[in-house]
Amino acid sequence: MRRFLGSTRGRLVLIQALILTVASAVTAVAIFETVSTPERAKLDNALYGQWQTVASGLQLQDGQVVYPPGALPATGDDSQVPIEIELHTKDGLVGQTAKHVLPAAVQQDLVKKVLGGNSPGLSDTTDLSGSPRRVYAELQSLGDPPNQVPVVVIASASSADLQAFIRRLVVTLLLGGALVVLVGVALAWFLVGRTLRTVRAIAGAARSVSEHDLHRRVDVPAPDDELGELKATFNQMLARLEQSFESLRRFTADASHELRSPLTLIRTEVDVTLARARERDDYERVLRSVQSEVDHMSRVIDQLLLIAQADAGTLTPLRTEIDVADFVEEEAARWQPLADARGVRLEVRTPDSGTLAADRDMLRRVIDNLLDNAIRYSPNLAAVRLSAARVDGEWVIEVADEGPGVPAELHGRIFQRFSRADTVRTRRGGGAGLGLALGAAVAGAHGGALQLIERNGAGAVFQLRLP
Amino acid sequence: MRVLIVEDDRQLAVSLHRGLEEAGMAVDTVGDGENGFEAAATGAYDVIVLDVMVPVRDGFAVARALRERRVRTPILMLTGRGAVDDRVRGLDVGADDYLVKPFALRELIARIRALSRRHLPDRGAVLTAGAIRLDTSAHRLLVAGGEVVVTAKEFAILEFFLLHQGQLLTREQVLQGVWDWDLEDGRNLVEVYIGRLRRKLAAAGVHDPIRTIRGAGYRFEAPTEQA
Repeated sequence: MRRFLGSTRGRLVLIQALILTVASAVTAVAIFETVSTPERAKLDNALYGQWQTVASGLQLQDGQVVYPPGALPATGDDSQVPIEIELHTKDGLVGQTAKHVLPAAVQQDLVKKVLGGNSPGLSDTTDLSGSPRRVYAELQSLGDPPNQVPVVVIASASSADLQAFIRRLVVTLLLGGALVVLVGVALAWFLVGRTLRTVRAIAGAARSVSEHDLHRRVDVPAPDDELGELKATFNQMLARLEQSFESLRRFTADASHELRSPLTLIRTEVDVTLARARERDDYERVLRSVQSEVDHMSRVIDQLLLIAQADAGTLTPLRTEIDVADFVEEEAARWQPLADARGVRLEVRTPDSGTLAADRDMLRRVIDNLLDNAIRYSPNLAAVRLSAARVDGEWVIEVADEGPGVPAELHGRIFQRFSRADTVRTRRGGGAGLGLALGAAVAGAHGGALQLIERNGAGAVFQLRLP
Repeated sequence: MRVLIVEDDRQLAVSLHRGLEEAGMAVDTVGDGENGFEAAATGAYDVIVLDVMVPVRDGFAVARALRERRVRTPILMLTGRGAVDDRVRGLDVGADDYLVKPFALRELIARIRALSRRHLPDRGAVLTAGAIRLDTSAHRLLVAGGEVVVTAKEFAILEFFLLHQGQLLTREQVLQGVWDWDLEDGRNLVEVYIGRLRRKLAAAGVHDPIRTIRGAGYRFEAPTEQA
């Protein structure tokens, strides 16, 4: 029982049963009253009417009670209800209709009460054979005072039919009500079950989903309401999970590939060099090459770690007050040698003053990446512009180059990991296609954004906006 | 310069030892936190290079213990994780700087040198030269009573010049004295910053207190009062 009560379906059906029972009961009572009362009244009215007719026709002749119209009528005026009349004085029975129906004890009791001034009016009793009878007993005084003769007029009729009718009515109402409640409960049970089926299907799907099964969806027919919405939402969630896992798989594969390339290079160079005795210069050259590849791998690993943190939402900047002008000048100073080597002009515009609360290492990483790309991708004698300014309550650090720019169709994808656009721009420089994705993540972690701006003329313009 | 290395990875320790010695430092190496603490507590070192994950007592515990013992030697922590928490924790227990592995030896050497420089005796709180008044503790520059807003590096350069008033300073000296680490300076930052300072001081009414001595360097000459 507890399990029944504990289940949603059980509770719903129980409430339903209670409501139905109460409703049925109220209806039954109403119907009963509405139908049985007039029937009772009909009998009572017939009795009273007949009593009136007889009582008003009684007369006193020579001290005798007589009914001038003739014999006492045995049926009511308006109906065919057989009504027996009895006339009693203090001396006893003085007249009656044909049959003798009331038991003597009942007669005497009635007469005594009426003569004693305590008329019961309408009452129920039984006849000689035990069948129910309805009785109207009242006093009718004949003659003038002081010689009035009190006459007890008793009118009675069988109420057996009435009782039978009422009994039948009660049984019918009870059965009908019970049926309604039972059918209602059964229907409720079924309907709720149907509804919960969708919920059970979703629970079943959730239970069976694992990382190998993310392509499955909930497949139960659901109506176009909250349940349908639940099903749709759940399926959407599964789709997103699948996508997430897919992208994670791809990312891992890409990262592994990125790290294998420099490792392969190192392996090969080292194997070849160690194969036989070499000149000092050879060893030096190979070691420098290894150093460079190690740097590259370090950078990739750093980037991967940061990207993973950004994914998990745990990329927290360690903010310090950074003098923007100093920061920009220092970046320019660090990249100038490379710019000179590539014949690229580095133009710098800094604000007079102002500070920014940001993670210095992360910020440096982003700007390094942008400058690296810009310088490497610039044609000879072109200019790369690095500037920082406060605009509309934000710091905007901009790196603009005069290179080939980014094709319009790649604009959206350039900030994704290992995107081809980013890779194409950075592969030569040892990037792994993660730089811009990381830049965007760092910007986001600071509450800002990294954007590619459209500007007239050739070249790419990247803006880092930070509050 | 005497440097103590506390690192349990033998290969790395040997490599670092050799690298720092060849850079002209006197180096001692120990392999665990307890020995590290003992050695450092003698106070004989200029800089302590401390790995976070050393056995017996870890890097954080050693740093905290040293600071409680009032050992003021600058501590540079090496960490393999680079998580923000590690860095914050390191600074909390009293370390002065940190480096994330893997690092370039050059970077380590530069930071060690920077830390040893920072350990100079306290300078005077307020430096003056004519109408220029540099409050190093409040970090404000006042020229003829009015505040002039300067960046951190501009402040540092002016401070450096004020400490060496009248002396001839080469570009390298200024660079090393102002920038904490060995910046690969492709733009002649010193020239850029002196230019910025000159501009700001001129706007405040002080003209050319920094003289460029062609071919040699710079000299700060206390400006005379404006007429």
